[in-house]
Amino acid sequence: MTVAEAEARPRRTPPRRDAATSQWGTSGLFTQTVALTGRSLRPYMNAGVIIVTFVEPLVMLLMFAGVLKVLGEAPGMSKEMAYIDGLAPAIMIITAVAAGAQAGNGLINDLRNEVITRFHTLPINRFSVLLARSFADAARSLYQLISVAVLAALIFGFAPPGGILGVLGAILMSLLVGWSMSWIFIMMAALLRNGDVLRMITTLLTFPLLFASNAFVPPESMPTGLRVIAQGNPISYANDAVRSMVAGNVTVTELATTVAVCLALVCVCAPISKRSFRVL
Amino acid sequence: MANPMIEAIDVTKSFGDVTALNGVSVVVPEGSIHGLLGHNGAGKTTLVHILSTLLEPTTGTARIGGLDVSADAQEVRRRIGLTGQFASVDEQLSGRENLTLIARLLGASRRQALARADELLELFDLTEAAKRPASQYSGGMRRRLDIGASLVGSPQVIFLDEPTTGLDPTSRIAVWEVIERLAKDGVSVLLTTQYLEEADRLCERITLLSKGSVVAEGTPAELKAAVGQRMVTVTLAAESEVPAALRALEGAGFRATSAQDSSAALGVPVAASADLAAVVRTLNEAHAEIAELGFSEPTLDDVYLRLTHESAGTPVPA
Repeated sequence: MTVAEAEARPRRTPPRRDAATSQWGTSGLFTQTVALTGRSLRPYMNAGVIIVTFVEPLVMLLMFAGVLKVLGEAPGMSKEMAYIDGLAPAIMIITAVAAGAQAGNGLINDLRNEVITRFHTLPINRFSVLLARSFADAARSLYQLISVAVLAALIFGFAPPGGILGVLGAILMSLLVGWSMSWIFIMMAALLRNGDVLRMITTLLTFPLLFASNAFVPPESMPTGLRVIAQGNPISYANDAVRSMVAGNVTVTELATTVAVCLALVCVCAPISKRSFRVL
Repeated sequence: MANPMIEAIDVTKSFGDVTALNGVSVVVPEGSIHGLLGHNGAGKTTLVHILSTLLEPTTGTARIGGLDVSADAQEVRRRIGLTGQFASVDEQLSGRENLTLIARLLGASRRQALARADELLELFDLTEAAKRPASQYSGGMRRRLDIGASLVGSPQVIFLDEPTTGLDPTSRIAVWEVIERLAKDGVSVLLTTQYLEEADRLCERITLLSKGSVVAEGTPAELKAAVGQRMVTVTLAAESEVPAALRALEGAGFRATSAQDSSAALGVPVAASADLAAVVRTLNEAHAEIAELGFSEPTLDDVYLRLTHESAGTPVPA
């Protein structure tokens, strides 16, 4: 529309695409993802949820510490390592994977929310909605991982040989593992679009992954069948890597392998999620 | 006709064995309000979803401002706003946050987003509730916020899917005024409704859908004229005057009928409201004294019932 035409018209309410709105550029994937992550984080931002989110790792720490004390053995660790140094990393991985699984539920809830329908009619990159979902749950996971470390230090005197850097590295590595696994659940949510089925599959998948591993019991002490599974379980490798991190003896190979496997997982699941993500 | 902004040409949509739309064509010129009228399941929402890029048509063409909704989906999305059947606002966010989020997604800076949000909040009378989470809004407020959210990018085309369903009468009128203002500002509006009153008041043209097909199309007046008869109803002062009155009317070219119940009532079908005067004059000349005089227009309800029944193959109720 020309200026003359615009002036010739009576005052318009609400203004159409005029000077004010046409100055808006187009938003990029980054802006969109930031804006949408803020939105996805909102449900986590109330006092009740913040407290429960903090307490969850506490319950897990106390529970497993108690159970394992009865067994009288540090899980999967060499004798000279402190007991909590083996337990805290396992709890970190469990926490991060659980948060990743939550991303699938989050997406299902989003799909039920008509806001997502509106997003699909906007000229945005739809992948930003999925990225935002994964980042919001990663942020929640980060908060929980920090609380695991802090609580372990306060209650069990968690002060591993790897020091602060080792603990930070463990947190980041767990975060990466959880975030990359969140894409499995986002992908399944986008494909299945059914909360009940997704929850069943999530349980079916996460329990063996988390517990048929070296998280709490050394695989050497397991019966053969379970031992083979636990030793091949990718979560066992994640546990080992995080334990090496807190022990301060992580190798470059270990680090590189973990990062590579995580990124490969995202590279497979994210494009499938993107392609199957629709509202109708 | 002004430039066609919304065009559906012979659109068909099937979901497996179910045909939701069967060769539907609708054209809406710029700045016009067009109504899609029909029962639940008539295909109204499916058509809106196709035109707003959420679904692809199985066959046929759908265009917004000349752009194909499948091939140029992203460009189409720059030009449209959709207010779906269920309020698509984020309940956890405040009214203002809902609007700024959309503005940010559309490329506004933080400051521009806030300015646009406040402008729309003002327009929709939500300024006082701006900071409250949308979960605390009433149905009418939520609807207004929802329509506001679809206007953030100042679209040229707005789709409103049953915009006043579930609203109280005051909120309904407020929404109507908003829609009328939009069209006056040159926005093309496609609205679906089950309320004939709404279609009659707002829409320049109406497409009547039944079971996925167009059963009628036209202005509200045309549709009414096509179906119903305008009728002058006369009650005479005395029953004895009825035969003479009927003869006089017949002589004047009217096909009047007397009521079955042998009262003094007459029905005179007429073509235009101007014929009312002729009926009165004829009766005066015949010295038939008129006790009561009425004029009835067919309503859209008549149109709706008749045409949707016809298309369903069931007998039309009298």
